[in-house]
Amino acid sequence: MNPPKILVVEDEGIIALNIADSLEELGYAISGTCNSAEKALLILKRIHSDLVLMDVTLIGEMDGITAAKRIIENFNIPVLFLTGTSDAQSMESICSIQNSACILKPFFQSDLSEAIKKLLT
Amino acid sequence: MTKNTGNVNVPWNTERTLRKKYECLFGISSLLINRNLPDEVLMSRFVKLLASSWPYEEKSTVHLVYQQKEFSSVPALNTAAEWITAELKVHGVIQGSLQLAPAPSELSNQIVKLNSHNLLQHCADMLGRHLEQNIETKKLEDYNISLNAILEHSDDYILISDARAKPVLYNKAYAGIIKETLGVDMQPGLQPHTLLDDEEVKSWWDDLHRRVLNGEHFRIEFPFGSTPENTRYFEFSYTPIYQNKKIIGFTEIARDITTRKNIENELRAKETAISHSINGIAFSDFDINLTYVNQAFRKMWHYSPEDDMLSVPAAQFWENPKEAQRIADEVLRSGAYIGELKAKRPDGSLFDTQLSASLVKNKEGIPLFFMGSFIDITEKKRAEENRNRELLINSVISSLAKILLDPEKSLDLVYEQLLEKMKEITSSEHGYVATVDPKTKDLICHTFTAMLEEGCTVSHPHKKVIFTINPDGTYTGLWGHGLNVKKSFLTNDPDKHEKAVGTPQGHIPLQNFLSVPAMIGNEIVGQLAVANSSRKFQESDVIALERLSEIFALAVQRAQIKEKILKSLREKEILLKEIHHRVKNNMAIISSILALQSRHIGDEKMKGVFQESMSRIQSMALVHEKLYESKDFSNINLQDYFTSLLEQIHMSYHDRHKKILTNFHIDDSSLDLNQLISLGLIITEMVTNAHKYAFQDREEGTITISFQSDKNNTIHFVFADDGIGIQENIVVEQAKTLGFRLINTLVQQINGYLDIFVENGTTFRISFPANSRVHQ
Repeated sequence: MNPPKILVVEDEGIIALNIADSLEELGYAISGTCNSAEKALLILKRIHSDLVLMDVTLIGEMDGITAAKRIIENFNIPVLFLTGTSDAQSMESICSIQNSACILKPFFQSDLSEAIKKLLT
Repeated sequence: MTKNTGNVNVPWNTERTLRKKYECLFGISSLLINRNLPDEVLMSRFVKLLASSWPYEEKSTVHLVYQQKEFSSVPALNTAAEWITAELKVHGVIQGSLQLAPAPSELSNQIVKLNSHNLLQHCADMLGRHLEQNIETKKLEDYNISLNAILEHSDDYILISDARAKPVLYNKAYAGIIKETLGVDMQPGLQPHTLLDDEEVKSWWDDLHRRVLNGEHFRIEFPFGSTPENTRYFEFSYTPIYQNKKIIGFTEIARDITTRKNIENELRAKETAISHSINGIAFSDFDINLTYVNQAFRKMWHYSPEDDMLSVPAAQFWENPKEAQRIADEVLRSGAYIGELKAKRPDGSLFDTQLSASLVKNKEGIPLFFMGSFIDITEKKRAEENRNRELLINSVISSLAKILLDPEKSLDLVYEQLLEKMKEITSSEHGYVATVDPKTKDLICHTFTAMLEEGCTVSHPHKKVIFTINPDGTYTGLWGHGLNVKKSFLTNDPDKHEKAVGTPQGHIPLQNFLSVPAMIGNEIVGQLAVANSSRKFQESDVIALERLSEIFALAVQRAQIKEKILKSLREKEILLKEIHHRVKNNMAIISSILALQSRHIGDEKMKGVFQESMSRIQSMALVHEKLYESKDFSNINLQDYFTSLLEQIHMSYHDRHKKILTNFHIDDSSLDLNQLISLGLIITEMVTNAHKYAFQDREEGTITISFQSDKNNTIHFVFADDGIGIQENIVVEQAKTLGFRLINTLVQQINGYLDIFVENGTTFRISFPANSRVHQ
């Protein structure tokens, strides 16, 4: 059985690399990493992903919350938000999105694992 | 001559008859000489004497009728007798008749009869003349009595002198005044002025006498008295007395005219006062036509001294001609009128007057005429208007200044108020207050009175009217003219102004227009404009609006500067947020690099070292995260920060399944960013220490953080765990572990002191002075 494929969307490349390493350590496959929502939507059209790990603040016009809504709507793929922000408005927007979850940075690897497992089942 | 019995020889012609005739006439004359006889006695004697002395032989009967009284020579008259009748005339008027009944012989001869009649008429004439003289004498006597009475009882001082100027006759009053003034008894021949000491005065009197004796009839007035209070005025009237065309003397009549003179002087003074009064004064009759005006009245109404103003109707002096009748009615009703009116000159110009009108009556209370006193109050009114205007301008400037000085107040608050005051000051119906957009340079009217009717092409959807600048940098029309020349201007004939382009569709026609630019240096920042004043715009209106525009320009400038500052502040806030975000991200990247690297380390101890470094970096990153999430990028909620920090560190440890409780006791003290980052690192070391050592073999623990400041503004920070407790004799300053070295360094950095207590765990207490920057 192939491990689930995860697309990592994070505007900071090194952080994305760290996340990707963590996910591989946890046994997941990385379908790709990118720093903008627009790129993520393009990748999702070409490469299958089982889950998207999404930062809220991204490079480009579209933010992570808007991108997540599109992804869930167009691709029916769950989105796990990774966010350092805890501002009320963002959290409220995130919580209103179905088929998504959120963990706060900095996170422990096991938190990541638990959240992914929940979304993929 | 012989006595004839026939027609030839008549007794009348006889010598005897002639003698008797003379005797008769002599007798009558003798009788009439006696002037002391009363008329009635004289008449009785006259008829008897005539009857007895009639020159003819026969006895005659004489009958006299005078003033309806009858006198007869006989007791009973023979009514059948034939009478010779003569008319008794006095002063040529028949007053009676004299009748004689002659002897028959007399009647038979016509010549005799004629002679008798002539004689009788002669006697009647003698009697008539006697009576005439009696009447004249009587008249003279009466006249003399009257004259004496007048002389004696007259208040005038009367003196009659002869040709040598010697007094002949004088009345009691004259004698009295001489006695009173010179102390001598007056007597004929005494010339009172000769008693005076002053030769000049004597000579003056002599001169008067000379003049009258030279035939001059004259009057002269002069005062007597040493002081104005006791001065008495006399009028002397000199008249020469003629007899047979020769001057035989003169009369001198002196009259005390002090009262009259005083009244005359008083009247003259009043007349002078009225004539030279600075108030205009006019009299009018009851038809309200002028009867008198003084110089000031002429000057006030621009009439020359030559203009005939008598009988001019007073109605024409007022803007409203009906005022004259109204005032007259009011004066007649209540006796007086005081009020302010608009007066009109012949050229149609108007001015303000204050009128005080009254009814002049004589001492019996009968109205004589109207009198009006006028004061030209144009200047006073103007001064009053100017003062009110000044107060109004000051109040507007004060309102503007208040807003100018209050940074919280917006300029929007003054536009309407300013426009209302501009209109009031200039009596204008319309106007606008506008600012120049600093970017587009278009003129934006913030207020605009309803000069726009439906369909006006310059109306803006947001109710603001915008006058756009032309591509060549100029503005159009009258409003634009003021901006182009950067000067105030006014026109009372806008249609003929060279820059007028007419009003757009739906715009109310302009009657007059005044525009003032609001300038800062040479730059126009706004414009104040008014239009359609009820009067003509004047230079004073320009000056008033310029004063307002000066402070308005400052207000506009302040608003624009405020807007720039706010914009700059917003930009800086965004920049600051981005910086905090960037710092936090950079730290996250450093942390990620350490994490990436730590994956290639097999040694768990080394991994722990990496993990501690990551925690230290994240504690600093957390400060920046909290800062950019805060509203003003400067205030952090300390409890929120401490909570997040503890959770973050707790989550990074493998023993995070342990139940660690946290208690916070944090007051409202504040810290600056440097102190906060230092304190964050200190807490990180202490929490790490607790995880690594204090709770090493335990499944639960409690951490208590206290943050309090005292009155000396010293912060007392306490971190306590209920773990196993630190080695009791530890000397922090000498400790070799990185954790304690960091704590030691950071405490020194914040100028603090560290105390450690070991009792039911470990308690670290740090006291340090607050820099008061970041609020809880």
